[in-house]
Formats: sequence, structure tokens, C-alpha cells
Amino acid sequence: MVAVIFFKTNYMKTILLVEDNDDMRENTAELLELSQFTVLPAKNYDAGLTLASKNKPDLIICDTDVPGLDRFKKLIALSAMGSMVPFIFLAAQLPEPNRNDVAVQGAGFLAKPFKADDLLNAVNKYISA
Amino acid sequence: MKKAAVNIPDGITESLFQSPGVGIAVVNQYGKFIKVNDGLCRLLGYAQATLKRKPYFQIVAPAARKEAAQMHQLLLNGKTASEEIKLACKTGEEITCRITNSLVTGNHGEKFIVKIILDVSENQKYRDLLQQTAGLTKLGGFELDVASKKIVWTDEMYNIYEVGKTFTPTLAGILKFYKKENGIKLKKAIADTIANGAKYDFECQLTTGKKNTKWVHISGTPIYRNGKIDKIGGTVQDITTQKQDELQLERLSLVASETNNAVIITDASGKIEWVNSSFTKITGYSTEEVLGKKAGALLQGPGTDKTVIKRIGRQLAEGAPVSEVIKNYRKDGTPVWISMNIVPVIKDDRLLNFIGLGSDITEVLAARTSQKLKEALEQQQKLFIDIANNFPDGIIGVLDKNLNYIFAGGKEIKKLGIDKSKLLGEHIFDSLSEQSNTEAVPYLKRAFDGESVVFEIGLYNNTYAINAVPLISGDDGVEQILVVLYNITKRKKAEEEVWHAYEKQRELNELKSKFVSIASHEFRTPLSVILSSTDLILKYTEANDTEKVNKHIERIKGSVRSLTDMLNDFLSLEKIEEGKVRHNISAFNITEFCDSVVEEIKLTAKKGQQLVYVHEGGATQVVLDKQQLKHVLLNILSNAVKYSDEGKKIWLTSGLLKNRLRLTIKDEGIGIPEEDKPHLFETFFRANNTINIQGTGMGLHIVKRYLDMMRGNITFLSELNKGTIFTITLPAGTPSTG
Repeated sequence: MVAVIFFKTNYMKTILLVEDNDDMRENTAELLELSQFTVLPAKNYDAGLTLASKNKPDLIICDTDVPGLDRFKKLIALSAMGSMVPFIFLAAQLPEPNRNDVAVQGAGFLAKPFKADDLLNAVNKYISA
Repeated sequence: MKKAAVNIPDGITESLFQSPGVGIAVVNQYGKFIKVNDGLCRLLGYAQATLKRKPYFQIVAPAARKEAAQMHQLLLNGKTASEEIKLACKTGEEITCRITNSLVTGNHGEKFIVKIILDVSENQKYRDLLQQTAGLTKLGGFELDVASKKIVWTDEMYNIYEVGKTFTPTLAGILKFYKKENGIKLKKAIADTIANGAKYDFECQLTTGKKNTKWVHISGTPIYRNGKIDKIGGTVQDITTQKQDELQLERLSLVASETNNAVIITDASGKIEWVNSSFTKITGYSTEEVLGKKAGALLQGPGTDKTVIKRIGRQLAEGAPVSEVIKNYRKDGTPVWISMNIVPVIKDDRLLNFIGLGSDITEVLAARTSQKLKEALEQQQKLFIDIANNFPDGIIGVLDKNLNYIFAGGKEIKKLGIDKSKLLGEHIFDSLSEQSNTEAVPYLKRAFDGESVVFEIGLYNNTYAINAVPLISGDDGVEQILVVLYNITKRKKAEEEVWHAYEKQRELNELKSKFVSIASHEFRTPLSVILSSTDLILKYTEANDTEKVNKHIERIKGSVRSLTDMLNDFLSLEKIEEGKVRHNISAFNITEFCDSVVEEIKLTAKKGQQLVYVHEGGATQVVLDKQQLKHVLLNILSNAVKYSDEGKKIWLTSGLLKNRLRLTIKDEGIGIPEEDKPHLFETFFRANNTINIQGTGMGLHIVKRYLDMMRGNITFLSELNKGTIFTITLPAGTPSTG
């Protein structure tokens, strides 16, 4: 597995980005692509789910303000590769520290608005782990 | 029955006593002289002093003393009698004398015999004297000769029998004046006297020569001569007046004993001498129980007013009659109210008796008290009615079980234009409204179940608070309820105003908190775009990618604009809510205005979206608040852009007709779901199908508010996924010349 992961890191990692605001989605995608990531942009969760099941991303970044998040998280978790994929949530507000939510535990959070460095640091943290 | 005393005026007695031709002596019961007059002393030759305190029998001839002693006993037994007896002179000479005896009882029960002694030879003088006194006393005297049945009488007899002086009295003739049983009784008595020497003395009625009925007291005594009954001597006294008095007295005493009033006679010290049967009836004490006792001690009790007792005592001591009402107690201890009159009986300045008359007025007093209570109640009732009638802004009513008015008052009755007289007997709201009746009945029924209920009801644009309380309970539960209707319209209005102000304040606060919450979300996205775009600009500047740099500068501009728009929306909304919107009316050209708005919108349009503006004719000059209209139009057009896909067309048309401006905005967007249409203009409302599209839910609400202010109108037609047409019409002011 270590070899596989290492092998994989030598290739461009795939990140699924779910963000409903066009400008924000494009800007985030551009920032990630400039750092050599392959970005799969999705305007909503349905589109995101389709992309996730087809492309098996290494990381999912999604905006929590997009309605239907809970359903999305469950579907991701149920999918074969689901539990393997780390999440970074883009949130207006950070969640309470000890929130007892399985889908949220172990996930990363990034508060809007965020700097490019903050985004890349978070992505690198979750993908290299 | 007490015998009528012969009252002779003092002067006459004295002159009689001193009469020289007549011997007069007073002998006590032991036969001793108490008093003798000069006439007797002269007749018998004694000095006055020698006879005083000497036995009477000393002057009787020795042979007649036994007879005299017998006579004395008879006299003491109460009979008046005349006798002819031999008396002895000092010289021993015996003379025949006629003695008329009368019994006098002294104040202390001692008995005296008054003897009028007449020398028979002096007979004529005696007769004359008798006649003098007879007229005053209506006393006639007679002598019946037993053998001849002839009668000799005094002149007074003519008056008594009311016959002329020519009348010759005989026994048979006299008896004719006595009718029926009276005649029989007299005839028998005389016969008895003649035969047995029995005296007679009785009262009866006679019919005079003038047919008048008289009461007479007749008496007869045998007169012995040589031991034989020779004559009957006697008196006839007209006692009609006394008899009438007696009858009156008798009747009075009968009344006294039979009356419903209690009658008490006490002696001077207040000890009871006599009570009637009503006294027993009222007080419960029998005659035996009260005789000799003091009335006050017997009847007064703890509840007796001492000041009244004192007042009675004071007045009686002065010899004045008393009238008082006093609380006494019966033998069984129950109180009884007595209205009493006490009269002191005074004779010759001496207090003899008290006569008390009392009547039981307990019931009368009770009745009077209940009358007073009744009056007080009537007074109260009147007061209640006055209060009720003057009850401001309401109605006070009493309802029976059928919810009909038994009583109604209050100023509101007139105000509602109801005839008060027609209200009585009517169902509670008959005069007002059917609906109110139905609403009120369940509440009022609860009052009949013993509950106090309060409810509100609307009548003719007025609001009434109704209080219903159970009033009178009978065997079948509550029979009447008191209903107070109070017009609370003013209060209600004030309450509503306060509520409205509060609601407005609350809405504003809600708006602000919603603003904070929405701002925290909605502002973050454009801010994130700006931040990420600046980062990207830095990166592209290093790579000299000018095209990308410009793209991101535009993106930053767009985000700042959307932030500004959002902020403006919030500020507008707050201004509208607080009523701080300023109107700035000006005249302008509507086509130029629309062109500039469309140009502005084109900057934000999606790829391939086309905006088409057409003015459909009419004048182009309008007088409106340009700023507000711009806001309205930008808002709807930006919605059209936002909710339409790329490459879709958006149409704006304007037109002026009859001084009204009409604007239509048509798109080929996602449309509005049917269920969301009614809420479209509510604050922060967003349709179901817009959840993936950014928005605050304020736009259309602000549009509606602005149009309201401009007295404009907005309608829409929409079909899901086909498109929406908004139509705005508003008065466009005075058309300018040209």
C-alpha cells in the first residue's frame, strides 16, 4: 500500500471540488491546478457524487453552505472507496470542536474566506497523510 | 260588690251634728260612745263629758238593755235598722225614742254605729230634718204600717218614684212600680219581714210614674212595738247614677280582663295587686305567681334598656303618666317588646295605685324592622339601577336561564341604538347580531354552571369584554347571571397599536439578526473570491499571464459589486422598515432610463444571455422617483439573469398609457414553483428551486415595498422551467408638455 501511495503521489492527485459559486469554484480550481492537482469541479452534490464514483478522487473539498450536504456525505461514506477519501469542508463558520458527527470527525475545515496558502497547506496535510 | 257609701258634705254633717233637737251619738264596735252631741246630752240630762267613753247601754232603760245589745250585734253585721227603744234619763225617767242606726266603717276597718236619736214626741222635727238631707242623697224614707198597709214617706220619695204630691202611697200601689221579678222579690221580702222580722236590703230596678227606669237601693227593717212587729221602716235610694258608674266600671273591668292588652294594677310601691288574663298570655306568669311582686323585677332582663327604666321611674315619681316601649322577658326567658302606658292613680294628693297597660309589639317591631329592611333594600335596588344605568361604555344586565334580559342598564344601550324597554325579556344579543348570540351562548351557559367567565365579542366594529357571573342560585342551580358588557374597542385599539409597534420592532430585530446571519454566509463567498483572485493575480503576474490577471481583476470587481448590492439591499430594507425612505421625484425620459439600466445589467449577464429592450409607444416623459424605480428594475432584471441559463433571452418593455407607466420583464428562466407563488414578496423568502443559487431573499420584497410607496403594482405569470413575466404598473405623474 505504501508503495502504491508513494507511486500515486508521483502522479497528479485528483481532488473533487464541490462549490456552487461559479467564481469561487473556478478560483479554487485554478489555485489547486497551479499546484499540479487534477481538479474535478462540481456545481452541486449530485454532480459531485457522479464524479466521485467515476474518478475515485484523493480528496474531496466541498462547500458546506451548499444544501444537501448530509445526504452527500452519507452517499460518499457508503460508496466502496468512501471511507478512504479525506474531506476538507469549506465553511462559513467552523464547527464546534467536539461535534459528535461521524462524517465530520477526521475531516478538515477551512473557513471562508481563506488564503491560497491556507488551502494548499490543508490539502497537502490530508493528501500526504 | 262594694256598697255605695252615702257621702254627705262636711258642712252638713257638722250642722246636723250640732242640731239641738236631735240626739246624735257615735258608738264604737265595743258599744262605747266616741262622740255625743249636745242634743243627746240635753235630752237625757247628762253633761257631755260624762258620756264620752261610757258604754252606750248605760243610757238604755234596764229592761231594754238585752234587746239593745242584740241590736248592736245586728248593726255591726252591717244592717241598717231603726228601732224604738226606751232610754233612761239621768234622773231615771224613761223616754221612748226612735233611733236610726247606720254603720260606718273607718279607714282601718274599725266599725262605728252612728245613732240618730229622736224623742218620738219630737218626731215631726226628725222628719223635717230627714227631708233636708234626703234630697242631697236621693234617699227617701218610709214607714209601712203592718196592720193598715198604709205608707208614710218622705218628700224625696215623690222624686224617686216620679209621682205627684197628691199620690197616696200604699203597699199595693208601690209594688206596681216594681216590674216582674223585682216586684215579686220586694213583695216576698216585705212578707218575710212582717212574718219573721227579717230585714231586707237589695238593689233592683223600678219603673217610675214617668216610665223612667231607675236603679234603687231599697232596705226595710222591722220596727217592734211591745215585742211585736208593728211597722216596717226603710229607705229607698235612687242609685241610678252610681249604678251607671258601677256598670261602667264593671264593663271597664270586664274590658280590662278581656282585653288583649296586659293590665297590671300595682299598689303605690309597685307591688302587683291584680293582672288580667292577657298579662298571663303575654308574659307566661299566672296571677298567683305575680301577686305581691314588683312588676319591674319580674319582667326586666339583661336586654332591658336601663335608661328607659330610669326615665319611667322619674316620671312616675312626679305623678306623670308614662308611655314607653321596653324590652321585657317572658317567664321562659324569651324577650318580648312591650309598649306600655302607666298611669298613677292619685286621690287627695295620695298615690294609691299604678295602672299599667301593656301590649306586645314584638311582631309589630319585627314587621317594622322588616319594613325598614325592605326600604333599605329598595334603596339599594334603586342605587344599583342608578349605577347600572349610568354605567359608562357598557351594559349591565341580569339574564335568566333562557338568556333573556331580566334587567338591563348602561349608557352603551343608547349608544348602540337599542330601545331599552324592548330589551327586557329579549335574548342577550337579539337586538344586535345573530352571530354574537351563537358565539356568546356557550360562555354564558358556563356561568349557569357556576363559573365566572370572561370573554370578548365583536359587535358593530366594537369589541366588548363580557363578564358573566352566577347571581342567584335556587334549588335547580344558578337561575340568574349577572352580565357586564364593557366596550373595550378603544383599549383594544390601543392594545393593537402597541402590539403593532411591538411587532414592527420585533420584525426589525429579526431582520437585523437575519441580516447578520445571512451576511456571514453571503458575504463570505464574494470575499473568498476576492481573496483567492488576488492570490491568483499574484501568481499570474509572476507568470506574466495578463489575460488571466485581467480576468481576475474583473472577478474582483464583480464580487465587490455583488457585496455592494447586498449591502444596499439591506440598507434599503432597513430604511423601508423604519420608514426613513426619502422620496425624490423628478421628471425623466423612460426610454433613456431603461437603456442605461439594461446596459448595467448586461455587465452581469451570463454567457450568451441577450437583453432586449422595447418601448411600446406613448409618451416617454415620466415623473417618478428615479432611484427607486432603478432599484426595482435592476432587481427584477438581475433576477432574470440569475435564474436564466446561459444563452437565454430577457425582454424588457415599457409603455405609457393613460398616465400610467407599464413595465414588463420576461425571461426564459427556471420559473416559480406553484406553491411558492403566494410567498414571493415576503422578506427573505426564497423559492424551493433556488437553493443552489445565491441570494438573500430580499430583492423582490424590496421591489414590492418600493412599488407600494410609489402606489405602483406588480404581478407575475410564471411556468416552471419555461419562464416568468413580471408586470409593473405605476402612476407616472403629470405628462409634461411635448
